[in-house]
Amino acid sequence: MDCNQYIWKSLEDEDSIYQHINERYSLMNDNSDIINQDLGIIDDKTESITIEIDFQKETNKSDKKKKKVTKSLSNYTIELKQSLTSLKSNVNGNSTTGFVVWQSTRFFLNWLLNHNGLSFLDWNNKQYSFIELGTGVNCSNSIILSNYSKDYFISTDQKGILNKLEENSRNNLNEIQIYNKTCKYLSETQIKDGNVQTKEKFFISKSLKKNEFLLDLSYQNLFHYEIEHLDWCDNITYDSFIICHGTMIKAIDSKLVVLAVDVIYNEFLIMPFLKTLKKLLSFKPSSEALVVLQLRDESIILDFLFEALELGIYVQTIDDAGSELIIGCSRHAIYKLSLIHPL
Amino acid sequence: MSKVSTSTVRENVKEILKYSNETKQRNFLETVELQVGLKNYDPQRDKRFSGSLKLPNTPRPNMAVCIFGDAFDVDRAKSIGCDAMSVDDLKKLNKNKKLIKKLAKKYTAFVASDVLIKQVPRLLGPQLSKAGKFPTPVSHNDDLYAKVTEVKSTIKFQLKKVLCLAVAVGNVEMEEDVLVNQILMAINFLVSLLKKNWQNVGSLVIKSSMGPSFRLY
Repeated sequence: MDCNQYIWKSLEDEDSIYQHINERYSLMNDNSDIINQDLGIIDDKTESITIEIDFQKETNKSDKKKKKVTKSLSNYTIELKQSLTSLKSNVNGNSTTGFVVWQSTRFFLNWLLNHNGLSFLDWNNKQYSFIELGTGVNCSNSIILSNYSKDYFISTDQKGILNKLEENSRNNLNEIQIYNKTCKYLSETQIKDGNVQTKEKFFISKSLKKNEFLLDLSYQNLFHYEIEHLDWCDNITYDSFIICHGTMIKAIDSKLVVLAVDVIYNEFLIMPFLKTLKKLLSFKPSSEALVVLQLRDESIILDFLFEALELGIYVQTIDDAGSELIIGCSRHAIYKLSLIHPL
Repeated sequence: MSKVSTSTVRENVKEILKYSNETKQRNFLETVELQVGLKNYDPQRDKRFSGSLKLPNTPRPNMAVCIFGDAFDVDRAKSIGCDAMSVDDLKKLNKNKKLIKKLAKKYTAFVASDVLIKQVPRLLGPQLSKAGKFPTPVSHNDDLYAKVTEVKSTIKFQLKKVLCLAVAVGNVEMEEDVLVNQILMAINFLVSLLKKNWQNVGSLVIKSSMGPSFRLY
């Protein structure tokens, strides 16, 4: 696979940030006729959405003499339910944006699976585990990336969204079973009954108490798929999430990636998000965050990048190095944030 | 389904054109603007839309556009009567904040030779980006006149912190039908950008630069 089509570009000072923003928005001006001109909702007319992502699946075949890797076309099909009523509701004091499915996740997954993103990020070696911030009802990242995760994938959002997210996750669990052969779905009942037949199992949980399964040695080979309540702006849920998961992140030896897709869209979200991110990253120095943003108001993106720098977070962006501008010709930008200076 | 009918728009367009072309003619070409008031939108919680729409006709034909060009594009710009600056001209500004702010204010939009796009922030500093004026790239294979016309015809809807915005949709020298069409296109596009579509629209008003305003919704 050719990963040379992308490069990491450090955004380490005012000049590099302005240069990056200037390039991206100039390209967006130039490609305005091929870039979607909308808010970013995939479909705001229907409650059910299917996300299909084709990809080249690699299979190892052992011959008598040598091992062969064969490629075949496969696809992930994620069936999602969204809530247009909740999106348009004025009752909910919290954000309602998470109740629908946004384009950024589909763009990101398509880049990962079809444009060498996985190999560029080195995610196909299953060395990483994930925490996703602001998942919304869209479980596509958690379901698909569980096939490439080492120990756990934890999706988080505000409380009101979690039921829908859990429903969507349960309806799509088969997409994990198909491709991640080391994991099998184990129901919560089986876990409760202690009826665990093998160490290579998988379970979904929604309660903080379930973390004990991951820390319990007898369950450490279970793949841990979890949905948690985490509101960055609410100190109580923030504290309980950090206390509970801080121990877990430290205890498990896989590298942590904090994933966030299209969650920064106004200036009020930037600081709480960055503080949460910094706290999570601080549990393991090797951790990193991948933030995918839809490019809307340029001042918000600028604020986000400058405030990250102010907090001592190192920021890199992925640029297209080849002639095919997969990222450059999109309305999205991908940033890697870490507490360690990128070499 | 649009909540503003063609006939409502037409009636108001007639009034605008009558006022600006008969009642009180001005010594300049008046622009017709669509002013939007939004409601049920929480700028602290909701995603702020941003979208560009290319209108069939240029709303502001006299809009000031400047070209940052290499030698080839500077020559082409002169031949189509468009202001242009070479790399040397940009270097002369010496990243002077005042001069660059003045430049950003003087022109509504910028076009740059694609080979120069990466150099623009290095030569001019952050002032153009701060003003939200990102140059549109043009290659030697592109028709420069067509590119400039495209830039002039493209309108941008961008929600900032406040719940009101305005865009130029035409001018008072346009035919009634053309102006009606441009206004309807802009309204439909705006509504498609909104999270709750028409539920987010508080008011829609059209007015010429120095004429009275006419409420459509």
